[in-house]
Amino acid sequence: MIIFKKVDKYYGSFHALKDINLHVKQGEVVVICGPSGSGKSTLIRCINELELINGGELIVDGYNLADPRTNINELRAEIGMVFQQFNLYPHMSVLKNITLAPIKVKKMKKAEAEALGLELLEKVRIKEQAYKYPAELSGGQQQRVAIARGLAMRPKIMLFDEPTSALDPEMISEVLNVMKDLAREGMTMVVVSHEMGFAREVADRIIFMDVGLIIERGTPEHFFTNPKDERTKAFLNEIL
Amino acid sequence: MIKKARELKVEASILINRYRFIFYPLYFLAIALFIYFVVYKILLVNVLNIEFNYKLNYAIFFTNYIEATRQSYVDLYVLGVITTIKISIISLVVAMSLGTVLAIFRLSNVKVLDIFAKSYIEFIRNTPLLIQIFFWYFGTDPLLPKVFTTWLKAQSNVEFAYGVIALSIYTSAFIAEEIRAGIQSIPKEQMEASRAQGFSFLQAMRLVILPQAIRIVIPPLISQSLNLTKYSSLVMSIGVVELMASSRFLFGGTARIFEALSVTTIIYLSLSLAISFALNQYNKYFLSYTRY
Amino acid sequence: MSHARTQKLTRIILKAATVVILLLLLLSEILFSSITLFFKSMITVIFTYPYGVIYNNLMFFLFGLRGKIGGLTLTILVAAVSLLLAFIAGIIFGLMRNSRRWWLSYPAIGYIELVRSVPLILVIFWFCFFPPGLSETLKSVGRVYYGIFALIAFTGAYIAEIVRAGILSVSKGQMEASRSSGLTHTQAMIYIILPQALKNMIPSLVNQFVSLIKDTSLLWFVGVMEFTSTIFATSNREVNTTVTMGLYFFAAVVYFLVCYPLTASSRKLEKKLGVGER
Repeated sequence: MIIFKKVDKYYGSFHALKDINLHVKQGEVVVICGPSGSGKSTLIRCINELELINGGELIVDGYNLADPRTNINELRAEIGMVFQQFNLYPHMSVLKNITLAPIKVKKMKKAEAEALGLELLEKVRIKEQAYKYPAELSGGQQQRVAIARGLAMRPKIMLFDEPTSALDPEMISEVLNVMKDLAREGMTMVVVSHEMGFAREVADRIIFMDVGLIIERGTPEHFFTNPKDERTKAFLNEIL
Repeated sequence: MIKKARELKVEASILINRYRFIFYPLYFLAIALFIYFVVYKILLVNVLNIEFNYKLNYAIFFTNYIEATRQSYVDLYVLGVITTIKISIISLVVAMSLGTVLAIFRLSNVKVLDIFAKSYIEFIRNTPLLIQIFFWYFGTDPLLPKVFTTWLKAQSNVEFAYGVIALSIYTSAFIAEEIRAGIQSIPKEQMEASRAQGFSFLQAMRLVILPQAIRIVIPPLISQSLNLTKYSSLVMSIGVVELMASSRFLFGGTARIFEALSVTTIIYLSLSLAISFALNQYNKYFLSYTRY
Repeated sequence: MSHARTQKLTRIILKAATVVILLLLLLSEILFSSITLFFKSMITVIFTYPYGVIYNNLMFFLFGLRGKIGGLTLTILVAAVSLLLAFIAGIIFGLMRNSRRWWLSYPAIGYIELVRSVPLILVIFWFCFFPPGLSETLKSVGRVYYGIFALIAFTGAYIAEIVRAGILSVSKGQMEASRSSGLTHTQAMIYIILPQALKNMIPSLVNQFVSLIKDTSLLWFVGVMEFTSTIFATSNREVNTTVTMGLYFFAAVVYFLVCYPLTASSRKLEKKLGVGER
């Protein structure tokens, strides 16, 4: 589904991603963790080309991102993304936030899109908030709206960029529960997160990154029980 | 194949960037040619039958403005530029002091001073400068003692003085608001924290608040002085010979409008660029060190 | 410290204090008498002012000469029309200024910087004197139209900067979120960025309108019969300087009554928007 082949990424002279090789299969849930500045956000933002890669090959769902002829909007319609800061559109109601892209990009009819929007809101368990504005919702509710918005295009892949880092502790679980539901349904997910409980429960694979390199990769059991690298051990000690 | 296309694209953009000093003028040349041929030759001349016959003649600047004293228009322009700079600087100094006093009034706890300063600022800011200039120049006589006005009218550069009065009163209202906003933009916590450490109000103001406020206030003050320089052109309405007035003498006397206005534009442009350059330098050297 | 030195010091301080107090008294006397003089003359002016001058010419001030639009009506009309067209120009140039394509952004930068660094009178002179000198057809167009064009060209550059700042004020995450849901750059601009930017821009636009109303007074220089010119023409007929003063004060009050409600409402809006957004 997502194939990184020797991907490099520079910000000016700063080498943000170094020789990344990664293969995410359909239906797989991959959790990326690592200290801040390790390049995990950059990695996930490369997948829908919010960041352009400088070297190597990146093939997402059959689209080659290194090819300038790739229609990036077509690809992005198949990838949902959830941000740390929610990034909801403050001037639109919750339902409009969700239905905008289906109506404008997929040319869906308004009634149809709204039905879809309500269905998705039910899925994230906040159907009753559909006609409120983002500013009236709590952080956890806003993030669930953002997930519903990501799902509105019926994506094949969902990307989560630290979805719980900006939330109060008591709201984290409500967002994680929605994400767990999604994982059980077989969605392909790439999640940048420090929620190790979540990772242990639903991840098929965990990837640990530092200074732009993938340092450790493996199943949760392997990752938590016998990590090989010293840096992984130090990180786990700090976070657990 | 795919890689080739991408590399070519990158190389092309690098090339364009490297030789931009060639490409950009070429581009503007293309626009100029487009305007000349399509808009002028085809649309105006052939369709609307409008044809311009205007021959540039910059030598007009070296002809004499007053034959008797052998002053040329260049001399007139030099006089104008000097007057513009002089009136701007003097007004700026006066406006700064007035504005600071007004800002202190606005921030003080004395209700009367606050209301006085507020109504002054609001009234001045919401009235055109031109009306204010006319009011001070034509209308203040009955408010002043007769002895004073007769003495004043005998002075040679009385218009200049009235211009300074109008400009500095107008600008002071804007400067006062900038200073007040700058001081109020410092978070309350700064004051609370420094008071908690045992500083007195004045100490906290002097050591903590004002140093931060000055850094915030200076950029808008520079842009206010830019505004002042531009607005100083209005004093030509009461007969001060500054830059705008010199150019009006030139095209009024010789009908060489393009020559007169283009030179004036370039002079104003370089004056403004000098001031914005100062602003940029300030931002570069001071603001970069004061992030907290 | 010895006793003698203390005494000496006290004496010096006492002397200095007397001098200071005397000086203060003198100063306050001067200040007080000049203030009373000022108020006296002001009160005399208020009570003896020939208000007939304003009353008789009121129609002239408000509507201009008979059969023509002029006076305050023309001032507001010119300002409103210029604002509307300058807004369109401002959006176009603001978007161009923000563009990453240099062949779009460079002309916009050039235009904005050029216009913002010259005085408005210069722009008005360019528009009102240069084209009419070129051909007979252009000469037949009225001054006021050239004046409006000048105001549009001038205000357009300022509005372009407002638009640019408005777009920059919308967080980058909004663009990323809309792009990652598949909207194109243009779609994201129209549906997501511009609506939010426009809301943030409203206070600055109202302020720009106030400046524009004040700036229309500069059309006096080219002889357009707007409010300032009607006042000037009337005061030119009067010999009495008291009358002149009253006329200009009246003009200032009228401009204030037009402009202040706008300024106040823009400030209110600014506060409301500041609290509403986070």
